Amino acid sequence: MFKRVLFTLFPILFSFNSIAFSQHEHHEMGHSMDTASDKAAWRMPPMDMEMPMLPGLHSELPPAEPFLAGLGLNVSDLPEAVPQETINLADGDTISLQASIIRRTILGQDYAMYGYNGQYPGPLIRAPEGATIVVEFNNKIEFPTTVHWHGLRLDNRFDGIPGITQDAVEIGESFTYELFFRDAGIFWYHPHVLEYIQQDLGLYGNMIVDPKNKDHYSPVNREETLILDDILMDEQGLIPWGADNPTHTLMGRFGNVMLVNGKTDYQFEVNRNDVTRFYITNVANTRTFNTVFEGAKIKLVGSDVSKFEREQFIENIPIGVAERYIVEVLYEEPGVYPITNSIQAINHFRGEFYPHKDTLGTVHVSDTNTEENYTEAFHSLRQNRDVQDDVADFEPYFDKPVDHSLELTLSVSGLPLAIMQSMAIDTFYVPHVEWNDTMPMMNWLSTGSQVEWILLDPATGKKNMDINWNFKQGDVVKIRIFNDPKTFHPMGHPFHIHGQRHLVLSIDGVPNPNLVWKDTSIIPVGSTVDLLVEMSNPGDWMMHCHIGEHLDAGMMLGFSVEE
Amino acid sequence: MKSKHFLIFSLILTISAFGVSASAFVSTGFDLNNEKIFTCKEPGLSYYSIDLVTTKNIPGTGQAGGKAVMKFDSSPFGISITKDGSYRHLLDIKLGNIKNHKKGRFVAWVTTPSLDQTKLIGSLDQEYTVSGEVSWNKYIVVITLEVSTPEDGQIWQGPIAFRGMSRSGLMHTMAGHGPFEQEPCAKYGYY
Repeated sequence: MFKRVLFTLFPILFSFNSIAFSQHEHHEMGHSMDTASDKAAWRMPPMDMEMPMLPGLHSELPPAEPFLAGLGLNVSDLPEAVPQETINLADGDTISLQASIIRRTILGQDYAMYGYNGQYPGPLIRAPEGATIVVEFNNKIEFPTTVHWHGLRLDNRFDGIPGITQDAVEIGESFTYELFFRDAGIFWYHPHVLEYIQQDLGLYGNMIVDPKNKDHYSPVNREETLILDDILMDEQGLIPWGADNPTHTLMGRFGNVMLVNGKTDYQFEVNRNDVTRFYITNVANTRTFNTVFEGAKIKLVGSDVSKFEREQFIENIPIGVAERYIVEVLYEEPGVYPITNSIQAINHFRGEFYPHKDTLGTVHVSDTNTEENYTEAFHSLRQNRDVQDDVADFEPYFDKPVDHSLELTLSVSGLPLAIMQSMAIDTFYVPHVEWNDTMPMMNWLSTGSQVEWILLDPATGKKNMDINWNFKQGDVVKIRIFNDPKTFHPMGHPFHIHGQRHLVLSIDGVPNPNLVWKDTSIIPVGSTVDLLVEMSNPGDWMMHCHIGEHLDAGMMLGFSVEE
Repeated sequence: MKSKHFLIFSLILTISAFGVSASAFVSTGFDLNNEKIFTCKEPGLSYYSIDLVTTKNIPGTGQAGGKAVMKFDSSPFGISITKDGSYRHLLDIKLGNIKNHKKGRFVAWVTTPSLDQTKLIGSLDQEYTVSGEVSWNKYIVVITLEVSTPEDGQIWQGPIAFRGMSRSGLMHTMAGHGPFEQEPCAKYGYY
């Protein structure tokens, strides 16, 4: 896209120990991050100094109020965040969960951020399949908030959607959630108010639902959750967010510092020939990761809401925002191995792709051989008959006519003239997925007051929350989604359906060879994706793009499932 | 030496051809002399599909043309991505309007824009179609006329009959162009 070609700025992808915090001349909007002050000031995002700045943007600021957490507070007085702890629960148990302001240390600097129960990430909630637990939630952050239990097919009243399933929990107030763990696997929780701020500041955590069937997974030596994230900062600290509407609304807010489980230097230790089951979750605002366990063998086991029909060996794990994947990883030789995000980034100014790797973390494999050897089980690829039988019940619907269609598009107004002009003559190339922020300055300047991301129902002409599809419990619905490549700014979207599960039947007519139940799926630019949704869970729900800035810019619709 | 000439020739023609063929990307089909050569069922596919333009070097191909349609190769992740982050595409190639072609066989290849790597896609069948996988983000599709069936690892020997560049080939440097006209190209390594 010409907008991107014109884009002044090189991608901001750096490994955690080599972060560039540069700004162009005349762009030293260098207001220090004075945490004792009660006002934030805009600082432009860091960028690659090789790139020239697009003329006309030198003095632009996003038309939004800048926000940083905890302003007016002394950061050193805030409680220090602690790493994630695991809460093992049984059916009927009750836990307390509090969202509060905490002190986080990132790359040696302290920041006021948010956390659940003072932890980063939030506590790992672990419960058996079929259990119901109670969560007494209390809000101690600076905004109203809710908790959305992502992927759980729970009672609609507890889905955490303000204005649909509950009122937002006001500051200092509480709400009691009841969670039903219908499906085994990996899930996560996060706010559903101003996600682009609250989640980015650290409000996220995992839930592992242990299967009833003890043979559900192959035996492994270890289990580990990996929560992938990024955060945008410069030498002075965190780049402010838009308080009243989001910045970075065209592409979403890419971070330039990678976080795994909230850390910039994630380390994991195994013995030689250990098999580890990793539960991977992408909680970034917008970044899609291409995760590689260098030096290891990887077996793909499961995703959002189930195992795959068949296990298979893979080399890498592309994971979109809010998706989860379950993989088993075997290191056969001792050594030190990076976990990387390995991408072909785009430099639109140069007009080229270039390989880029971020080191997300490091795995240390000791000389000591594994205590219990599960390598034989690892090398055996399972046919998951339970999943195959489950999916088989839906095969009669695979070729049914499309019930509903959606087109993914956007409209803009009031963007800076330089952006509008450069976009207007953009007729070049858009990638299927944006792996890096190819246009940091233009992206930063685009706000939710200027950009509306749109889910368009071509059958009715309705868009976003004007759409309210009605279904009956038990309906099996085919939804065809087309991500239009010829819009003002096409972009791949991670599409999330609340409260139900779906299969990705095909992309551009190519059938999916190995089905798995999902709640979030990537819709690449230019592609037509057929989803088959089982409407099993009654209530009023949402579907939306899970890029925080796109969601806040309108990209959501409502649907009802009647009992 | 001969094949190198062909390579360079193909690149030049490919790039020059794009100046006139780019508009075809926005159409939903491809008409040539009223013959429907390829229609993209899914609306987005036409955006990424590659027009194959004749070099007019081969008798019977002067009015011919074709398409290479890019889809994601099947993958459990939906999007198909290699370990180094490249897209893994399935290319469906189809030629049409070829007249009185008798000698040799048409063979499809892909090569990088810098021509430093080449991959055999395969020989076209009697319907002038072939499919294959490509794992590069920017590449040129080349259809040559060969006297024998090539094998993996070989480079083409025959003349180039058709060529076209992936849509990503439309990305090129802005140094010294448009709003960056004042930016010296040499600063960015372009001379």
